[in-house]
Amino acid sequence: MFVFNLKIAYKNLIQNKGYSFINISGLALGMACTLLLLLWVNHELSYDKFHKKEKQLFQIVNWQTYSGQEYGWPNIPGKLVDALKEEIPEIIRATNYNPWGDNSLFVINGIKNYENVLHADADFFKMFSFPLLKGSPEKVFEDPFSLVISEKMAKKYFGDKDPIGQVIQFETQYDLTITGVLKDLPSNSIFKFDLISPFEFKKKNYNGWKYWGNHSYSGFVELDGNANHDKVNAKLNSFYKDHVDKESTERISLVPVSRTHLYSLEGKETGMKQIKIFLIIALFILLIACFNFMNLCTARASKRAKEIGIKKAIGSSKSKLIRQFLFESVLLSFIAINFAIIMVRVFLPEFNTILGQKLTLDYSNGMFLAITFTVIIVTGLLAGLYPAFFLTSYKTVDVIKGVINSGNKGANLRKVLVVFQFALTVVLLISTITISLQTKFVKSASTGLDRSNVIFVKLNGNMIKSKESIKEELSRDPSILSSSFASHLPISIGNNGSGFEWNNDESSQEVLITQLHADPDFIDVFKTPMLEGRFYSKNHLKADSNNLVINETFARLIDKGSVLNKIIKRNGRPRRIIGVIKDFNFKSLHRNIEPLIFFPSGYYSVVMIRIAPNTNSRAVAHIEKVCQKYNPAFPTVINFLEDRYETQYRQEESTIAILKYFTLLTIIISCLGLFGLASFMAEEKTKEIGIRKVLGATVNDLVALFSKEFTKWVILANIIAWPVAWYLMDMHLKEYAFRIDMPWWVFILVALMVLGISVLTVGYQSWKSASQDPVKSLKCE
Amino acid sequence: MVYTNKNNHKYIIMIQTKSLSKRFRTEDIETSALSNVNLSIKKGEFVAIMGPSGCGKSTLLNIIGLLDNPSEGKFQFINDEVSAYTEKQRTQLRKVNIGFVFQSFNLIDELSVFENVELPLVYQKVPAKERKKKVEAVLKRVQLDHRSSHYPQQLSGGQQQRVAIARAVVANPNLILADEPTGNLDSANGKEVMDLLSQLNQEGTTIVMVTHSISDADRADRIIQLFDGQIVSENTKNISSSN
Repeated sequence: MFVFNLKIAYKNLIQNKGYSFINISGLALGMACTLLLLLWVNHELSYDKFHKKEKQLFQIVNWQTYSGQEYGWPNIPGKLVDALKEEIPEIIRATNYNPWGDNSLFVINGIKNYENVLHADADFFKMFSFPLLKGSPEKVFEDPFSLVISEKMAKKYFGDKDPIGQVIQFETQYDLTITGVLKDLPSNSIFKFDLISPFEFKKKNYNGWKYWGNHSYSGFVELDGNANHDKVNAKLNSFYKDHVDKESTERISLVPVSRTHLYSLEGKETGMKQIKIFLIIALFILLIACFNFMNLCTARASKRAKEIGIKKAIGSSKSKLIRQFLFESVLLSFIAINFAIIMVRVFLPEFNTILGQKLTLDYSNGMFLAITFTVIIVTGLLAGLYPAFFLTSYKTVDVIKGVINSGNKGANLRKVLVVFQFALTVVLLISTITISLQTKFVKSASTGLDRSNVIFVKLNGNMIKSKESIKEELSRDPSILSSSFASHLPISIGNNGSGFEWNNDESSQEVLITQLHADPDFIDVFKTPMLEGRFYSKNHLKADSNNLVINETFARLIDKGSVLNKIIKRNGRPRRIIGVIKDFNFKSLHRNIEPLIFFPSGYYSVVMIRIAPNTNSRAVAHIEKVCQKYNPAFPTVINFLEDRYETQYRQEESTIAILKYFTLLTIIISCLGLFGLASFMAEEKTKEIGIRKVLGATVNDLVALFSKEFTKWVILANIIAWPVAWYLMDMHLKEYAFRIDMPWWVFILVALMVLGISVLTVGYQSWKSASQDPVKSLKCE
Repeated sequence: MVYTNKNNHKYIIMIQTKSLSKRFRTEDIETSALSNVNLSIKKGEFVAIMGPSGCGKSTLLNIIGLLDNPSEGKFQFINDEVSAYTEKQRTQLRKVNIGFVFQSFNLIDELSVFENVELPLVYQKVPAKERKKKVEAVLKRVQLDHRSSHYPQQLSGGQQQRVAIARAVVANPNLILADEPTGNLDSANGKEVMDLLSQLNQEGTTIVMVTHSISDADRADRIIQLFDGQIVSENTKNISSSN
């Protein structure tokens, strides 16, 4: 029976090459999209699930309350980890971890380079499953001046030579010995590093970790296998009150490491939201491909009616016939998956580039085989079930009499399927264009700062001490217009704190204020206007040490009117407000502008330089020369502020790129289906076309007649899709504090585009049929 | 052009062919469907074309009906030399002057009786009100006005053919071409259809009919016999030749 069914299936495929091609291409495209998206989804869901002790590993979260609102951060004081290990018996291992790493200067094998080095405690390698190719987890961090490097780094600096025991220079001050080589980290982990050294090194050489108020580190714990996570969390709730400060409102809790990639600390979906969106898109695309298959099968049912009627007449049961047709659809699905896999291989590199991933097709991987098998069966059954029941419902007697008329049978469902396909396409198109417009807006929006032609260089070595000399030397070249030293780039300030008091209101101390240290030339570099008063001045350096400049949002918290000369206290020290700077966005445009305070001096980490337009090469050469003079030990790394700004929206960019590709594929699949259906309907209507031509219809009359039919469906699809698209885009836009208005013109544009595409798709087929000789159509002789 | 016959009766030639030939060519074979056909059909005449299957009757009808072009020869249709007309020109001439009645009725199943009959008027861009009037009148004539909202599948064969005739005459064509109009009908229905055609002819419509039925052919003024693509005989009844 299997061989018999296979023969029939093969014959049907070969005898109807055009329709087989349309069916297989549509299915293959749909499956390829689904496979690509499922590969990515599988990768994302697998983050940090490969650790042997995955269920026992947790990240420490710090909760603080400001203005009545509780915020969670993964940043904790450096001494918390040791304190937890001592006090909480359920915690059997724990490690500190500096989450951003230190972009530090290394001299490795004679080569000077900035590399990112992370620091962790000795328990790190015992907790997490990052295998060491050389060295043992117990010994690699015995010495605080040791270093473990990745395979990639070992190859980069040492080639085939054994790096164990090699001494490298760190920050021109320290010698670290390589004690281990780590297998390159898998991409599905929140941990990303190539160099890691003991946290003990930080403890010996930096004091910041000692302070409970310094939340610059991360921490991870391993709970005992029998420990109850919720009970431990309950204990941790009052940890700060019990061990740090009785008045403290801070608390800590533990969050599973395997959830941190996809959920925020508050438990909201972050990455998980994108996964769900892409899963829905994958399902939509597969559905569209399946609908095409269903439509073509049912439309062409009359071609197989004779076969079905005769088989029934000579004794085949309906269920046998259903199994035959399901077999055919699964076979088609199997053929399509092979083409789909070829397409995935071809498009995977581009897909990886867009998403910044390294997904691979591993045919031996059990998960990949399971996904592929599931896609074949689901597609085959989904696409084939309805046609199987439809085809086998023909009455034997009607077939033998020759009175079947499939043109109308199932026509309503076909219309519904086409309308649904195009509705999905319209939703995708509107979403893609709207998201693109919003991203374009945020990337090019004026944030209140002039980011153009601004270079920044990280301060290293003696640069911090030679601030004035550097500024003076920079200014000697006409390509350099101004320069300013600051603690952070003003496009992404992560430094905030509370304890500021104004209007003698103690409750104001709870307000979280972002802090930026910047020299008086900040205004010159960024051309930000002052609303009131003045910025810090070189001529008033001493006096300004007791002054403050705040932003507009902060000023409104203090008073609706002028705030000049009002006093802000912190730790008992009063300072006078001398200026209010116009608001600018110092975080992504997802967020509203928050209160900001400028300090005139303090810790600077970066110099920002405004250069004259069109002088990039000259300016860069001059900056490098000056920086090298004051910092000969360190290579100078030049960055453009605009480029750094755009990296904030990398995720949006990748989402848009994916949406664009998949929307295009959806359109192609829908058009394939429409083309197939139009071809079939033209075939069915050959006689009608002949009659109409005999009666005087022109080619244009006939093309208009057939296009009208499909045009109605597409218009209906738009009517259904518009409210759905509006709702989705409204939700998306509301995620941004700064956003475009809902672009209504996009809805109309998309409707016209989809209409145009469908008219072109159907029009060709209609024109071909309408141009046929009516004599041939009617077969008069 | 007006002619005068030997009885001094004036008549107009509607269709005239001279040395008309039609060849069909496939990859290997060339078939001559019509060969050197010289034919004149007067306005108001009722002509029957007979002959065995494959003799070229339908090919001749297709050329007369401007559905096809001859391979050779001349063909005048109401004073116009149309043998080299383009498809567009033929369509234009056909929709104004010719009505067709087919053996298998060739009604459109998705359209109602009214809509089927209305179709030629739609293609002539007749306004809707006028169309309604004409369709209702012609349906009354063929006694199917009470079935105007029905669909072809709901009618008997004879009724369907009457609808097809209604459609053929609704635009008042000068010429009706009927290809075996009673071929799929029983004798009673067939007689009804032939009565209708005869009536139309008496009212002045020129009719050219292909038929296998001698009794149907007997209604015609003239019977042309075709054999192997050539006219082999013409039999004319003694009737007045001017209208």
